[in-house]
Amino acid sequence: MIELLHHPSGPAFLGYFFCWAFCALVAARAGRSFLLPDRSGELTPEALNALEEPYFAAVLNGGEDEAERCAMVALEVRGYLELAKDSVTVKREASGEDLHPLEKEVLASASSAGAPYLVPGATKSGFARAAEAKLRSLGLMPSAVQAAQDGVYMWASGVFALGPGVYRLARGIMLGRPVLFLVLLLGVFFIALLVALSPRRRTGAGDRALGMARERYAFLDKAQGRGMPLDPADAALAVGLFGLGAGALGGPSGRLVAAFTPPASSSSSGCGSSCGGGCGGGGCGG
Amino acid sequence: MAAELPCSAGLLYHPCLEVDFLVHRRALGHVSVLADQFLGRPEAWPALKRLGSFLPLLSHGVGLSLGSAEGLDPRYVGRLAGFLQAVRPAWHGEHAAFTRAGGRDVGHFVPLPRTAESVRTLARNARDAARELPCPLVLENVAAPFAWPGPVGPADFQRALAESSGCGLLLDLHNLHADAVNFGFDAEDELARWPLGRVVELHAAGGVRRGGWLVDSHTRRPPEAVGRLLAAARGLGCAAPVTLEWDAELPEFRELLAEVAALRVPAATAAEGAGRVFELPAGGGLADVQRDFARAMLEPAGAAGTDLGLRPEDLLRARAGFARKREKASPPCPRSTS
Repeated sequence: MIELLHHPSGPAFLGYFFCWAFCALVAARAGRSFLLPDRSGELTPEALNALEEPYFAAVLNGGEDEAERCAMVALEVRGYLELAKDSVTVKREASGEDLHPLEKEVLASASSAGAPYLVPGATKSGFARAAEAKLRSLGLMPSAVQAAQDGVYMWASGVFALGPGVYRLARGIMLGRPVLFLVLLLGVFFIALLVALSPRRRTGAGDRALGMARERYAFLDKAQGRGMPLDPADAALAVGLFGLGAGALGGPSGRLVAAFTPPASSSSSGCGSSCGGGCGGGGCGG
Repeated sequence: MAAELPCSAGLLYHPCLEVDFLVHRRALGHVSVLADQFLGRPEAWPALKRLGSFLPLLSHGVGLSLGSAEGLDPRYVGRLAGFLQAVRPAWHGEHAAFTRAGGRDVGHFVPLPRTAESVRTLARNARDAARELPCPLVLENVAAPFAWPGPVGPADFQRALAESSGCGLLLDLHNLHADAVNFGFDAEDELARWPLGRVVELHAAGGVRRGGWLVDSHTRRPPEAVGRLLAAARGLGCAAPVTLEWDAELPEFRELLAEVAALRVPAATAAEGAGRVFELPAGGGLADVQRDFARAMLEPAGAAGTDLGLRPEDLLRARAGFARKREKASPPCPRSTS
């Protein structure tokens, strides 16, 4: 490879580098489960029960942003927020009603400003971080050490797979050679690196638990798709488990998709708020 | 058993409305399934198991023919046991009646003559079934299309059945109401004679009149009289869960939920139903009576040549009603709330 770094023509190098980086990334992806195996073990009932709580499910599924979207849906169903295309309106402030801590945080954030669409993550929720800690303790999310190992592995694999290209790029720039195709190729492989080897969000147990919870609550997805009204907890759980795609044409999460979509003319910064007989027939006679 | 679901109000399950049941699970205390809808259809059981992971499941059936002098059909019992094993309801209810005689199915429940022989027969069959079934068996009163002659009332007969078989009772309030209307007795007086301490489940339903006869069709909201019977049962300390049975001509699901909510009546301090000393006639030849009855219901000549001790008009009405039951196909899926 060292020889190839210096002598081949540009097009030949691109061909060699493509093969090298592709094979290296594939090998790194395959090798990760061998070198850094999932040690999450068996699912416990406590871990499964945790996903009955919409906000834990959402954190496991998509992180803090997803949990905040769930809270917004629950607040909308309860009449605190009104979500519409390009606008989110706070309909009423928190009353004595028993709101979840995350819902209180989201509502407070939504009440404090007046942007026309929602920016998830604006609340910097303390709840989401606490939820992540609990999900780690339940073995559903990787521990900090596992996450760090995953990160080191990803960057080491990146250096290994893309290093020759980066070297050749630096050399080309120094020698005043054209490097456009190499830059494009490196960009593509960098994205592939992030996709294939970014630190795992969930452990194997977390994936299994999420799959089981999705199967158990599949009816929420169907209900949303049919536009059936859901109570706040179920509406939040539908978004937590299935994301904003849940029944996107129907219930509140469909409107939330619009609410989370910045208007074409709007800047993406700011907000914080305004964001804020049977079928059996004819009587068995008994 | 009933202590597990005190005063719970639930609904008869309809597979077509699975999503409605699950979405509105918090408005239901329990769900009752008609086992016969699912026998031999194991592909439908996972949905019931999923439902059972959210709500207590109860089961009842129509095909055991507990009162048959010829005994139980082992194939049916085996299929029922497999279903109950898979779905794990809290108990399974079956009607204190017979549907099969002389190897033939008459199509609907035939009440038993209120005799000691009937009690022995049903108790024997109930014990045989209980040995095979993975959950407790409870006995339900039927709406009688005619009355066998005899001195013993329905409540006393149910008490004898329960004591002899060791089974709990399922009291269908609409069946009691229909019998009271059709045979001219006071339902609340009769209810007071029921051994309510043995009742583990109540059924509520609504029926229609056909030719002046109140039929337990499960196609209407429970009439006020059923509500009064429920209140009376609760007042007598019966805390058994109550299930709304609505089989066909279903309204919107939210209306069903409103009917279920109306059945949520608290009970007074638990008390046993008042006991009463009575004597059953000995009876005799139950197998012959049942076989003759089946012939009267199923053969073109009808009841000609048989003496069942019943009024001809009762036999004719039963014959017509049973024929209707046999011909009835599954109705189309009722609509969802969506």
